[in-house]
Amino acid sequence: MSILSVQNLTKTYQSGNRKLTVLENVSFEVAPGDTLAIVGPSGSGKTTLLGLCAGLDVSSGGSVSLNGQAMDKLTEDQRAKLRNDSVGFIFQNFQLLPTLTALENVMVPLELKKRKDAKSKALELLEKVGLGDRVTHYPSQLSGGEQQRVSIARAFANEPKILFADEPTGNLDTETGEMIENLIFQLNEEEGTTLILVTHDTELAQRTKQIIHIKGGKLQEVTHG
Amino acid sequence: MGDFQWIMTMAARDFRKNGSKLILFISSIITGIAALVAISSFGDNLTRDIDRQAKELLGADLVLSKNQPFDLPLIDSLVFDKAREVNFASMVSFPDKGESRLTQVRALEGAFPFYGSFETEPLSGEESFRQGGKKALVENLLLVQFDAKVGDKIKIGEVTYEIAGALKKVPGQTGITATVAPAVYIPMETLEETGLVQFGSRINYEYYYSLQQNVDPEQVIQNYKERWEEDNINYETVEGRKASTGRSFQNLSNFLSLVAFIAVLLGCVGVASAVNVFVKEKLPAVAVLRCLGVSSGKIFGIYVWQIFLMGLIGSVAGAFLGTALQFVLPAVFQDFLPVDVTLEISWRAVGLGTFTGILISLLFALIPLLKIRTVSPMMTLRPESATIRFSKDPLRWAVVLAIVLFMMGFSYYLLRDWIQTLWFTGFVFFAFGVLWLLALGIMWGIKKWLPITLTYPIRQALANLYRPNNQTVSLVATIGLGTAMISTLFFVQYQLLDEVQFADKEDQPNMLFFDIQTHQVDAVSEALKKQNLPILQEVPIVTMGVSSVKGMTKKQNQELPEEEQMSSRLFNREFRVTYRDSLIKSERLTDGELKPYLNPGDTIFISFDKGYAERTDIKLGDQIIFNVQGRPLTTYVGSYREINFRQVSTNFLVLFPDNVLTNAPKFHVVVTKTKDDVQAGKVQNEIVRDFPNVSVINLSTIVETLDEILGKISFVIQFMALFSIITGILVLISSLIISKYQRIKENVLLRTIGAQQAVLIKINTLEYLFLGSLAALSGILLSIIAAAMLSLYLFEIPFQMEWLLLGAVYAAITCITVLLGWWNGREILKTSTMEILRT
Repeated sequence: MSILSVQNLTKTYQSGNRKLTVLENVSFEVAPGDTLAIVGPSGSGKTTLLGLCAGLDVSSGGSVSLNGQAMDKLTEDQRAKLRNDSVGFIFQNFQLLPTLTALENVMVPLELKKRKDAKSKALELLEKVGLGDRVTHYPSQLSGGEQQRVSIARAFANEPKILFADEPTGNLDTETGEMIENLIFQLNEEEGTTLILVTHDTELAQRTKQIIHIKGGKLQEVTHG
Repeated sequence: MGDFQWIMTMAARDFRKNGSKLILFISSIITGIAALVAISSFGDNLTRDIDRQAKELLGADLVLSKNQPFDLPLIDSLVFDKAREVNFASMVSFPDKGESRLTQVRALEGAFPFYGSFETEPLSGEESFRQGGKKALVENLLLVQFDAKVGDKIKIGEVTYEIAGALKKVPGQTGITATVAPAVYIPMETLEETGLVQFGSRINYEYYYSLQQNVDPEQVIQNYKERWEEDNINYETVEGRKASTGRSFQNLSNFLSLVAFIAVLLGCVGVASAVNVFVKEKLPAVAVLRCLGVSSGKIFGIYVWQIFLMGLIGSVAGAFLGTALQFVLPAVFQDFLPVDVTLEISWRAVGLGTFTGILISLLFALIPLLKIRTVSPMMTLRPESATIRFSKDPLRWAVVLAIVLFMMGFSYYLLRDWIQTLWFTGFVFFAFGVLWLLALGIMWGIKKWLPITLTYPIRQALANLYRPNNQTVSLVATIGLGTAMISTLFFVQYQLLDEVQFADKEDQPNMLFFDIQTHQVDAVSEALKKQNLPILQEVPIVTMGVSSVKGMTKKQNQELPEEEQMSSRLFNREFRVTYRDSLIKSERLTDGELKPYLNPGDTIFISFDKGYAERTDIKLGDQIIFNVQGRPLTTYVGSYREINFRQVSTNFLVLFPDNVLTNAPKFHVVVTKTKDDVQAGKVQNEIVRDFPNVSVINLSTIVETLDEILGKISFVIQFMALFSIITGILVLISSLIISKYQRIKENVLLRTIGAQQAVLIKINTLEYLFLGSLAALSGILLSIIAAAMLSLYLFEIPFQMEWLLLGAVYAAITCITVLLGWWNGREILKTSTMEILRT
């Protein structure tokens, strides 16, 4: 059984009188614990596909089933609950909450799950990503690499079944980028999480088991890393 | 951690970093709430003090008055003490100074006031006056005006009095009463000797009663009410005075509360505008929270809590400031207060202010805040992902409706009248609408037609008016409305004064002598001619009352069902009429004709002022029987005249034909025109010296008095309207601070690419010059509309532009804006260009 099943997924936007199709009849499946990369040129529909898979947006046609739940049948708040229960995110621009400290940023998903050990678990994760001494710092006081590590700790905090990463090293230098890549794959392996990542970086894509190539909103081919 | 607790925790975490910004947002409501609480508290305290000092308002338990001597009721057994007063308008002169003025002379007999006391300077003044002899108590204002002092002489009619004391306070009288008709008290036993009580003198007779302790004045009234009404005897008790005074001040306090409420609304526009910027900054964080699985309701809760908390802090701070502020209000209102006001905290006012502040700021903040609900988590991946447009969000429309309903509810709470409530709400929407449309229109126009030929600093400064996150609309609305209020008040004051002064510019009379006895007419005219003054009018005046109208007496009229009754004003009025067969310059015949009375036995046709006839429902041909000094005189309405009352001239509601009243007892009025104030003063003093019973009104006295009264009234309203201006300035300051980061980025960028400091200063100054001008001119435009409507429809006077006033208002508001902008810009200009790399 797959953890993510995408069938004939289509997304169109209305632009004035024009209908713009950004994704057309995309289908694939991902098994639990697998890793998958979505690659393609700019404007090919990668980010749209990631957003739809993660339940951040709704499709115009086709279906997405995440952890056995058909996304198109859920309301936005039900999808939010599903994300909190089963999904983790890592973004290119980190997306930390600027008004919260590193520790509080990691605690948020745990608090939402009403976990009593939110603080200790968050501390443990920050230790794991090497930021045990930066817990009280605000995002603006951290470097790019540090911010992305906080973001990774937050992504793994709710022990997600599936992790979505959008260009996780896109804003980082090569050395830091490599360190972040390793961290993601290491944690992924330790936690047994499914990993879906969007990237331009072919080397990074090669580290996943499956690679989906997209162009002009259409699935071109599926290769194995 | 429960949901609610989590929301509170997140709100507290967010507030930690945003607190200072949010406090700034809310600061703009503080002044409005302070004004509202101050005026409301003061109103409450005043009402309570009117209640406590009710007896001192009247000085007696019961007062009876009439403009003729009348039979007193047989209530001596109920009376503890009584006093008598005869009062009338008369000239008084200061022989040592050689100057004179029209005053209200009050001849007093008895121990009035029974409650409260005359406050005189020196304190012994009252005692000395009551010992009898030719001593007078003179209104302090009058002494100040003529630079006279206690011990000086004052001449009233034929008698010269010694000034025993300066009157500082008389029970129930206010500073305004003293301005309009300054009082001079003289002992009753000297009245006759003055020679002022003559035929035709307009005299009022008053009796003050102090009743036995167990007697209820209302009960006494019940027994005599009907008879007194029939005899046109006015009666007043403590309860009646308390109710009417309380009502007047409640109305004043409610009106000023509405002025303060406008300041609250302006503050809320500032809040909404600032929250809008706040929300825009928060959208990415909201999208992240959505990604992390937080429901829209919870996220909304995090921000609503912060806004609520700030509304609470702002309102409570405003309420405390307002409570402190009420201590300066007695100084502002000093000329209007009939009682001494003791200041205490009014918890009702504090509660009303706090509740209003929280609710209205929250409602206004909700308009931009509701946007948070519709933020898509996709925004984390695509920052350009849109939220739902305002027009498509029914909840936001519901909030707008709630604001309208709250405004209407609040105004109704103060006004207790739906029509006035609708007018007020309509006015606020009209004003905001005009300013909003103007600001949007100008921004749109600049964006569309900004000429490329303009120099760079001007183009950049103009373009800044529509930069992202600009506050142009909210600043134009807040500063503009504050400007409009202040400017309208000045406008109306100037219009009214201009209208009176205008009379002097044309070849119009400017001096009027009245109470001239028939045997004095020739001598007065002669004295004027000697001074080379023209006799523009010499008019005989006969006083009379109405016995019946259309065959109906006052009593019969009162017995009719209310909807069939004629106006009681007709029966209660003492008419002063003249007689002639022709019209004068200020009159125009609109209906019927002036029919002369040629032979005894002919029908007497009289002419009515058209407006008065319409108000009292008098038609052409109606029969009116007058009572002329006890003799009935049957007349018919033969014509209507339209009268221009805005002249120093003799105008009459009722005009008789010649030959009817020739032998009736009468007095005379003579009208002239002096060249200037010096000549006017000289003639006035001469006439008063030679004919002490003759009273004089001259235009400059009217203008002075009107100026003083309007000045006092408009000072009070302007004091309250000032809060709107302060609110506008606070909104400006908060918008400057909000946009600081953006401005730093822009300035650093410009400097990085080579702009010199002088150019940046020029752009900054020009931007605020444009913004200030836009706000001030929009407000001025609104005030022109408001003043024109008030002039034409309320005061019925022609509207005139006041360029000097408008120029001054424009300059003041624009200068304040530029100065604040410049002050804010200093730090921005100091920022290092390295910031461009760091950001």
